[in-house]
Amino acid sequence: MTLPTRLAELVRRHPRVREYAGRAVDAVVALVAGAGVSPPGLRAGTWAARSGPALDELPIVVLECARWSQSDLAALVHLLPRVSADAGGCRFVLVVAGPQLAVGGRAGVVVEQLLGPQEWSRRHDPDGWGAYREQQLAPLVRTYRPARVVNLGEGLGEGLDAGAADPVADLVARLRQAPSLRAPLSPWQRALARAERLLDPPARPGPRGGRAARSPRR
Amino acid sequence: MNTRDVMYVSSNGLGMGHLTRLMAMARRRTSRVRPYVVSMSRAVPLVADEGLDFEYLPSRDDLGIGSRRWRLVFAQRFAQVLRRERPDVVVFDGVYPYDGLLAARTVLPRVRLVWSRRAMWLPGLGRRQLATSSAFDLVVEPGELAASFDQGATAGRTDAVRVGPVTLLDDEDLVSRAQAAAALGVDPDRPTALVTLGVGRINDVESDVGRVVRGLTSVPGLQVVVTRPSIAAADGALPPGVRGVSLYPVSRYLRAVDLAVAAAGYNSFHELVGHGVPTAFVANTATGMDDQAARARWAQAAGVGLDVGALDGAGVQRVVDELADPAGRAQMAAALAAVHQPNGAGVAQSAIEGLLDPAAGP
Repeated sequence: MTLPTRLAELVRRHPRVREYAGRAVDAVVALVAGAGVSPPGLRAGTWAARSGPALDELPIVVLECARWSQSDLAALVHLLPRVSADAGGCRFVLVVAGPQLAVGGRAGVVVEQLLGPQEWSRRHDPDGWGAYREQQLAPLVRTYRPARVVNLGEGLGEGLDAGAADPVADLVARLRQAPSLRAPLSPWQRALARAERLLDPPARPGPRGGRAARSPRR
Repeated sequence: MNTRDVMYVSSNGLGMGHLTRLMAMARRRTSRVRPYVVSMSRAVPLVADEGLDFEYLPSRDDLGIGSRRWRLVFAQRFAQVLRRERPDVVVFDGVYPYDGLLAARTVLPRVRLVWSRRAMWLPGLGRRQLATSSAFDLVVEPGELAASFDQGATAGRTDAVRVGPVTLLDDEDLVSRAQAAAALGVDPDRPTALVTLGVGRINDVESDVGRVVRGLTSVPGLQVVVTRPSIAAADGALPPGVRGVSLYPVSRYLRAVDLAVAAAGYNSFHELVGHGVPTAFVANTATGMDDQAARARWAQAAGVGLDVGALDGAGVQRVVDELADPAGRAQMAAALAAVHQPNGAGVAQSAIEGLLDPAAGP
């Protein structure tokens, strides 16, 4: 039995040791998150060819399309594999309005919700929506450490030229025009991501990028 | 009247159980409650049909990241939601109260915490989760018809307010047979079988559904309807003549259903048994904590359903032999009426609202 196997067995057998080991791993993960490293394993779409540590190398792009209709969003999701390929590979986080959550989810893309102005004003001061939007996007940047955040406006006509000869090129151009928020991973950050991946394995993708069958132990 | 904010929080799970139980409670609220649903299920937009505002926080599975990193993310994001919405009560339905949820009091010291804690946990699991029960002001246990077969960690505990089985709809909420048949796209004058195996079996749903549908369509005169869950990642192709429906809640249309083949999850089990539909139950053994196999065994023992271990050739044959026979169904229907219990959602909601009374304040 190798030393790592012995250690793992020791941790598994003793609840107290397991608890302390868990706390230590939590602390390491918090440290890595605080060091500006994107969460390892973040979904990259059902089309993604990469997996494992290679997946973590792909830059993350947040696409804000909360005011898009369901059909526009479905069209966008259909384009994403080609956009990713033409942009040299990336992982997308789609920021959508509530009813559109399933569209991106089925494609194995990470989806976040932003309440629209109308939904917001049902419970809050309508004038506060702008501040809410800022407050909602800021944690996304902290969570995902994206390379770029792109606001795609009101829908295909505005955010992406539906009549353009090549909407993929149009979208790739918009991605490149957005200010870059971070440099590629440094060797140190890459090492941290690998360490986190080992200590806190990402959830396995299920069928067609959906959820995997749950393990009884979390 | 001053309204009070109640936040209903559900984990994602494999199906709709957590969210549906919370909706069942929220729809029975009094006018003094202003509800808000926070869910880790991408199916959460369905709650808008009940007039509920909602917010989605991605689950670990939806993000694909590690559990420890996800807990960090969730804690930060949930704290942000709490600071913004400032609920008086947070009601959580799930089997794992996350650290971020339990930390709600550090964000809002006066908030009251409720755990809607479904029973029927898989034996030997969940002691760690159960130890968090004392952090809640109230634990509500949605009733379990199969309680006598419960060997999980919650069985025999006395720390919860036990209510009747919680289902979204009461009998009077179901539409007539004619209306239900129209919604399902079937002839009300012919028998109808509903196949609803849930998202949890999506991996092999095509083969399971394919086998059982082939068996059912071989019964002369029987119409077959297959549900396509709104959060399913994939749809299997259906044979000609078989209806695929994506209706929520499908229980509203059960008066047009004469027999069913269903997963034995809390929701579908209590809806089908509660509304008196003879059903063949197929336990999903890929769940994290839900002892569906025990539920199916109870149904068989109580004579209210069939326990079909697997939808292989023999299993499908049992479904056809025992459920397609009107006499067998009639016998089962009598047993179903005998085990009927009133919906516990209203009682659960009353217990939650009891925490809003000044006398119950911290």
